[in-house]
Amino acid sequence: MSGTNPSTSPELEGTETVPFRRRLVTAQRGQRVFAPKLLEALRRSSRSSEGSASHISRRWGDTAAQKVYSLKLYDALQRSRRSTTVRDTADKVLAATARGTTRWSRAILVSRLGRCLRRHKKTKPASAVRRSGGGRRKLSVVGNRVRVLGGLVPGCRRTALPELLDETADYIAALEMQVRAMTALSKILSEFQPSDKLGSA
Amino acid sequence: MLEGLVSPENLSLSSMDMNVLERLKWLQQQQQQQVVSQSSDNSPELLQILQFHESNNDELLQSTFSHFQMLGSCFGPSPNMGFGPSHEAMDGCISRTSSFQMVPVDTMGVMLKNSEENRTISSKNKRKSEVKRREEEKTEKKIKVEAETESNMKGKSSMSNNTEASSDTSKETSKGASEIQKLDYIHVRSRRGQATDRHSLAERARREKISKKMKYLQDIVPGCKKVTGQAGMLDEIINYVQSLQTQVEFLSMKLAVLDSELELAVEDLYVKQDQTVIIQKLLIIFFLFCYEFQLQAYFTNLPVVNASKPSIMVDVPLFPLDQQGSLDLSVINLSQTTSTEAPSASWETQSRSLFNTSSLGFHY
Repeated sequence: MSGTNPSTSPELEGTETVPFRRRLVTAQRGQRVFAPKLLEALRRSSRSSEGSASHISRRWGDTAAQKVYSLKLYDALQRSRRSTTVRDTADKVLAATARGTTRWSRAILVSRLGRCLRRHKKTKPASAVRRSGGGRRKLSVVGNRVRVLGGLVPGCRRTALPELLDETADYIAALEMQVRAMTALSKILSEFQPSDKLGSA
Repeated sequence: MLEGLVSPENLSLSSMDMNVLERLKWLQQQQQQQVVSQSSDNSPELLQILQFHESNNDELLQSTFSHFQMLGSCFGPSPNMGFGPSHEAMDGCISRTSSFQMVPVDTMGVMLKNSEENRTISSKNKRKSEVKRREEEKTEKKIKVEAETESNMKGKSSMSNNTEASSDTSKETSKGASEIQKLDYIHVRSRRGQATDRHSLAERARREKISKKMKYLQDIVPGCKKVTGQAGMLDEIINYVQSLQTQVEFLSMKLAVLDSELELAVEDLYVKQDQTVIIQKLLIIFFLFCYEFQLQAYFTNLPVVNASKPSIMVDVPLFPLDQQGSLDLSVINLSQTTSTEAPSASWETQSRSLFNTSSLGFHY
């Protein structure tokens, strides 16, 4: 996946001008950059005047981003037929399109990695035993909902409310793009079906 | 981000408070721009505002707050300065305020709100807004002066130094000056029923951040505008995320079914019709070469000649079940469109053209 995401490449180029960021050298060479916190911090500092609204909608609202995602998704579906479900590949490609700048995308990528390892090694999952019931004081109504929302967004179970709201906004935009891309892809593939059956017969 | 701050503030506060908030932002702007102006009353209090701006200390915050209390106390009649144009300037300057001072702006705005309310309660003036604007005028002009002096001094100066300097430059209202000079400790007067310690101020800033983000989410999530209150909005957001996730699952199941059908058909085709596959590949290679020549003829300035190959390679797996005729048609369409289009042969645009020329209408 060495192709650059068009929606984020201008931002990468913008960060090249900062001299003391060594990791940007890799961005210059067009390699896959995976410096999530750096990128996020740089983005925030460069666009401090804008709100969180614009860059999230720009990132996931572009039709270019949707096309890139659908191409990647089709590619991944072609490769992995029986190993994983379609849902997992879709999430994986979505997280890859996010380039790991957000918490949920990193959590998705890590979880897939962990699950693959677990499948190979066939060991008991080493995840910490969650004391969900015990130790929790009585939360307010809002607190309960916040916890539920944290459970929905992957990897944000324990984050505080402001960061959780940011992650939710990005996650919602990403999900909407995913739905759009997958509907388009399914429409195309379904249109192939009748002619193929006729051809193979 | 500050514009987003200003608008909810404007909605929630009264008109007087809005002036105060704008004034504060304008003060910051003026300090950064360091404009010279004439000095007038109440300079010592303004110095404290500048001290606050310089150091962003919480103690100075409280000192400025106390300053505003004194400003309210020395309320007397003042000449009507032309506050009209300056107000417009304030509006124009708001958008340019920096963001690093956002948190103190919030707290300062809140404190100003508190001070304003206190003032209204204590003074009970009828023409409140006008008088306050005049006060703002005075304070603004003083801050410009003090900005210069502060920049000359370069750094935090103690209160006593400031009082000396300000007493040199101040003209009248000995009441205010004397009150400043008496001050050695920072006294803060709080709003009715609200604390002004550091923790509550920080909490208030945090709450405003959260409310701003909730407002943005409210715009994103459909059907969230009718519900008021954080709990209801969170409920709607949770429902929306769950619905999106179920949609994705449903679509993934659909794609899995389609994929399996495709796979079976592809295998079928490859098993039965080997010859057609060979001929297809030959055709691909043939069209590849003439396509390359076409590309070189038309797009000499573009280094993306290789893009033609991957596009056609994608062509084959994307349309694996095409008959020969349709495959030729797609390739021919591709060459036709690229010959007529402007040179834009990036990977994405080529794939886009592929999608466009296909009989399916890959619409977004």
